[in-house]
Amino acid sequence: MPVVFSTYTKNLFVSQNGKICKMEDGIICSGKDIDYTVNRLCDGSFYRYTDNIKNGYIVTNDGIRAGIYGEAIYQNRKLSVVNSFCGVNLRIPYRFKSCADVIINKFYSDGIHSTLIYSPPGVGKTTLIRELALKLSKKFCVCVVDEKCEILPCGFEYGGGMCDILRGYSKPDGMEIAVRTLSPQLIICDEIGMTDDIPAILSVQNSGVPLIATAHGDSIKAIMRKPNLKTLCDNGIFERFVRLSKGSSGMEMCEEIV
Amino acid sequence: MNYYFAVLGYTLVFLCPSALGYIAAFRTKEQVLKLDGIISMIEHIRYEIGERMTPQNMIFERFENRALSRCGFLDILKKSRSDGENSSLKCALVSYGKLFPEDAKCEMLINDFSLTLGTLSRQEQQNRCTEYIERLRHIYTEKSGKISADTKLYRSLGLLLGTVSVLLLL
Repeated sequence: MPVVFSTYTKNLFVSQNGKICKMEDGIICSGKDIDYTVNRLCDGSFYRYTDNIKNGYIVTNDGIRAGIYGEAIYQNRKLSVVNSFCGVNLRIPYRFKSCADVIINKFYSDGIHSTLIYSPPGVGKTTLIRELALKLSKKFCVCVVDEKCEILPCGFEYGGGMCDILRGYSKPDGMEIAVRTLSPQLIICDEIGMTDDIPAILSVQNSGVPLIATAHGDSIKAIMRKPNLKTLCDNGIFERFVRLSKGSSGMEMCEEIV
Repeated sequence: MNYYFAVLGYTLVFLCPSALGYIAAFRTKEQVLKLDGIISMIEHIRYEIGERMTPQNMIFERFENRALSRCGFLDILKKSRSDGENSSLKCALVSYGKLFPEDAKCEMLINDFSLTLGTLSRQEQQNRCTEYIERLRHIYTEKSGKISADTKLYRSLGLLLGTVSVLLLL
């Protein structure tokens, strides 16, 4: 497995002496290196991260999300454990402070509307909602349900306003707790679409709290082909649909009408 | 005056072998106490992992044991940190040296256990702790019966030697 550094637009390979090189000359990771990396990511405490690894990722205290894969072992048709790790994908969070300005000026000048932000993976949905959370929390009480601890992780430098962060809560639990106890004016969460999320989102919407959420998809048609997201759209949960794409000058966003 | 010196001399002659006997008995007992400490340590690990999901490097922070503290192992254990390849317990065992130099079986069991710490899922780790606790407890039961007899023997021998020495001098 070669060591690859992926930037917003390209993949880079690094040689033993630390210089950018061709793929053939790049550093190759052995299975032992990957085991060592996973062990370090787990802080030598694999038992704490077993469930996370089953879900395919670990999030470090710095908010770095490590996607981890290996050999899956099933028992009674349930994923029991993953071992013999084959690769690690480290995703390092960063601030792109101006990325939320366009969306705030364009879509939220007359107040907050429930919005679904969608794009294929790696375009910047999480970066965008991070900035949205921080900027909107200066005017509104914002609740961030951060299931994977990567929107606003511990130890990450940010200057938020009225921002309540529910780290590690599942989206249904986090949303229910937020609505019941934290009096939010806006709820933000990442990557909706699981079956369990739908009742919680419908409940939140019926309680009158707008929601900004993200989902994977490259067009509104693709979104509508996903049964869970279609249920939400059919119930009129979202007032705005924003598609993100990689442009020549960086992240581009445009509104789509259903 | 001479009488007092003589009494002092006889007392010292009596006390020296007796003290040696007591020291030998204490050292013998200490091995069992250390083993008991190791069993308590693994029970503590099982609790910390099962109930608190404590990270491996912080697992020994709340652990206390007199026998392990007396032999200096506990201090090393609390300071040791996992180096990515070895667990904190393994690192502590490497820095301390042999915990049971006279008992290769115990030493091997503890080393084996230290290799698995932090590498298994919660359930597997708890099961592994239970397995090693049972194996070490079995050794402990065997040893404690034997050592109880040995300690009595050392103490009695010490006292007897002291008494015989005094009688011979008289």
